[in-house]
Amino acid sequence: MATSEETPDDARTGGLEVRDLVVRYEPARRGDDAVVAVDGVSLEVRPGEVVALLGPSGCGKSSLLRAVAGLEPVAAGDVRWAGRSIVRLPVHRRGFGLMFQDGQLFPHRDVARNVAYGLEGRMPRAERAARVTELLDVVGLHGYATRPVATLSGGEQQRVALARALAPRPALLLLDEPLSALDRGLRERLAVDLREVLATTGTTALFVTHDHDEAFTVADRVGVMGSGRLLQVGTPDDLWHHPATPEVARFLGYEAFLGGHGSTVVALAPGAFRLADLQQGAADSDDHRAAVVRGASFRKGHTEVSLEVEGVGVVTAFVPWDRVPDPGTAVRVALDPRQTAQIHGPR
Amino acid sequence: MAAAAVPLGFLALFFVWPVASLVVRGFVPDGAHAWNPAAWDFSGFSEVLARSRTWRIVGLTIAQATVGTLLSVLLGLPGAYVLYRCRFPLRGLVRGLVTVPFVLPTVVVGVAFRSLLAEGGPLGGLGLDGTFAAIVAALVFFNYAVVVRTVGGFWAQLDPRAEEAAAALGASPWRVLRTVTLPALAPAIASAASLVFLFCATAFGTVLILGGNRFGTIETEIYLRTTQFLDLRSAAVLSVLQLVLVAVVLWVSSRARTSRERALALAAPRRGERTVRLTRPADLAATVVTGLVVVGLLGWPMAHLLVRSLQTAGGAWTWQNYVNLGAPGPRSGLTVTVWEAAATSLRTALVAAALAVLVGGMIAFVVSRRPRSGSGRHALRVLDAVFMLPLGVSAVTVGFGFLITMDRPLGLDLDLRTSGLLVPVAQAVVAIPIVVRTVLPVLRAVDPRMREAAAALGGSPWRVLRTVDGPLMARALGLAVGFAFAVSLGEFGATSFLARPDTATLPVVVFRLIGRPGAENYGTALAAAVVLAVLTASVMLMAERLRGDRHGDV
Repeated sequence: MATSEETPDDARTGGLEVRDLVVRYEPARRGDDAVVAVDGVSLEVRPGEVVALLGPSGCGKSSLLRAVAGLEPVAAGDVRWAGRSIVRLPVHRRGFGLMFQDGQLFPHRDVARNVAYGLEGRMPRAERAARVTELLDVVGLHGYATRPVATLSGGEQQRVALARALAPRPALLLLDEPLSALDRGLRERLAVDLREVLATTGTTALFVTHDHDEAFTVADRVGVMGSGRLLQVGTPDDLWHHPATPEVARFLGYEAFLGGHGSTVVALAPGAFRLADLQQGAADSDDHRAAVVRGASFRKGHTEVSLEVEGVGVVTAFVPWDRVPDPGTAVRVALDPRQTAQIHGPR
Repeated sequence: MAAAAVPLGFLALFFVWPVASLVVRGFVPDGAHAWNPAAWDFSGFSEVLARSRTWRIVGLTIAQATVGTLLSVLLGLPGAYVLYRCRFPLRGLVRGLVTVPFVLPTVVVGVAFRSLLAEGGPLGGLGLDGTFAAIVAALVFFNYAVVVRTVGGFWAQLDPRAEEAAAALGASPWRVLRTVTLPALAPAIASAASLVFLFCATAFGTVLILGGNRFGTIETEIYLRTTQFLDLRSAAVLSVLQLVLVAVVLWVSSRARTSRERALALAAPRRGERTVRLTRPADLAATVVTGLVVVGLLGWPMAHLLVRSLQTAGGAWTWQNYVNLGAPGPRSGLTVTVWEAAATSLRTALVAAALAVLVGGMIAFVVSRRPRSGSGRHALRVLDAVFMLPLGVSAVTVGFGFLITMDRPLGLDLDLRTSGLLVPVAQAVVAIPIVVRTVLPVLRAVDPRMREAAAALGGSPWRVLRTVDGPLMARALGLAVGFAFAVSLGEFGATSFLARPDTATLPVVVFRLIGRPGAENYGTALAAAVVLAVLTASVMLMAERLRGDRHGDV
């Protein structure tokens, strides 16, 4: 397991610490094997840090989050907060915030009373009202206080859910695919907003998603999960440029691989190949390869051309819209090293 | 699981113990000790099972229930379509009217159908009085609403796009119905059918009044055996037979039900609704069938009951039958006026409804939990079925069991029979399953993550219950109160055993009156039945108002 960000033991003051965590689900039928959703994961989230867990559905990231929240029992390992084990602490005493994919707003309460839920019984009414107003401003829903939640759009509902989770100033905010149910444009905008809100409130957060753009936008560090294990943890920049395995690289969006020197593999991002003979003659270098154009699709500002490169497979190249070759055209392509990553193996 | 203890204790004391005592008494010879199994005498089984009358009654019970269920489903499906999938003026009113028969007291329905079919009635010439057909018609009258509401509520939430896709692929409306709609509705239909079968198989008051000597169910036979022949052994054997029948039906229905409740979403949009178009042959046929059923089968008997209650035996208009409610004649054999009985009924039903909603609400809460462990889930399924048993055990058995056990409940020197609590407790036992079935789908439809979100915000389990489950359950509870109240008002099987002459309830009074000779008594019975029907229907319509969402359920 790549834990390049590991800090020495004595430096661990506060924050969340997950150690060799195992989460199991009882079999649906007696006699079946238990499903191991999380299989020995260690991870930490430092105070003020936003960490995203990235992985395909079924990789165990949500189970990990639920175990940290206290919603799933821990089969083995430990979950610690501020140096103390919290495995035996019930959900409602952990003081963590939790936000689901579909908000789970209380349908019988209006916006303000949803946001106030975690504050009730903790502060006087006037203070509570002020905090609710403050939070609604933070999430950009000024003036929504008395609206019934059923009248809100999906994006507004998620903003209310975020305000509700942030209102009691949670020590740690847990977000389970908070933007996945929204459409693409809204998702991109809300991801930026979410990052801002988390930064301005100084919230420590653990964030689960299957969308790498979202993870890279919101998180300080990203952990990539697969089949119940944590495959790699690092900053977005670090992960993108130094994926630890082809599996991680493929999940991050690298689309093909070249054999390198020895056991090294070169991962190719979309755009790693450029059409060569458009700029210059088929003159220099061995870096040129033969390719056949398979198809093209128009995107914002450029066109994505699908190429079958000899000895590599199907990759994507970005081409200005006025230079798109017809399908079936034989072309030559050149490799752009900036759009590749070296993976050192074998592991 | 501590929450399971209270309802389990209640049902153990007021259901299992009386019923078991009655059954045991049937097998223990006089003088032998009940705790000595060696002395038990099971010869009653072979004796009762050897009688041809027993098999005739069992056969009749199953035949009535089967035919009644088939007809209810066949007529109810077009009704569900018209009332829940189409828009038309006054739809809400028609939906409410269709529901009324289900909560009408059995005694009222028996009297209404008899006034229609008896000699001298408008259908007297058909010779249907006291026939199988009359009983089945009355059973369909009751259970039409069960099918319409259960299937209709489901149908209203069915995504129409699957049907649209099939039509776009070239399927005719009939083929769409057969290959897409009906399979999608299958769980709801199965659930409704098994409930209707259960209600038909355990019908008591209606069959007692309409069946005469020739027709009966196991339930009426238990009543006859205990009250007229004091033959406890036969009654005990018949109770066991009925339990077996009910257990089988419950097993089938619980399988159909779980799949249905999972599919329910709390706030599904109603995209499938459209205005009814009489130019479409399917819409026309469904509307005509539904209109005929609502007017002919549901409306007519009730209207006729009302009209007859305002007439003398000779057909002249009069208020006299209603005047008699306040002053029963010397030949009525009553020691209280009908108005006094009505007051008793209301008081009793109020206590019964409170008890039923309290215990039933707790049961629904326990059964709606989703334990993580497989054994926990299994235990809950068993509990779910156990809590439904009162639905199928003869109310007569419950009543009679109360009579022989509650003189010294738990060995305490406390005769509950004179306390006035016995009748409401018995009625509550009968009403509890209805409360559970009304509240449970709503609780099951609450996303467990909503409770998790509340817990993460610092809500203790008790606060989550109070602030999340409570408000979501409140509306269903309103309806449950209404159902429990209506069921208690009309309860006849158990009450007929337990009510003393001076605390007789309205259904008991109606039954006593029609059992006595004389046109005056008959007229008073009709007026009393109208009063009972109006009371029940008003309670139900009030409860219906409280209900915000309109999911299909019992």
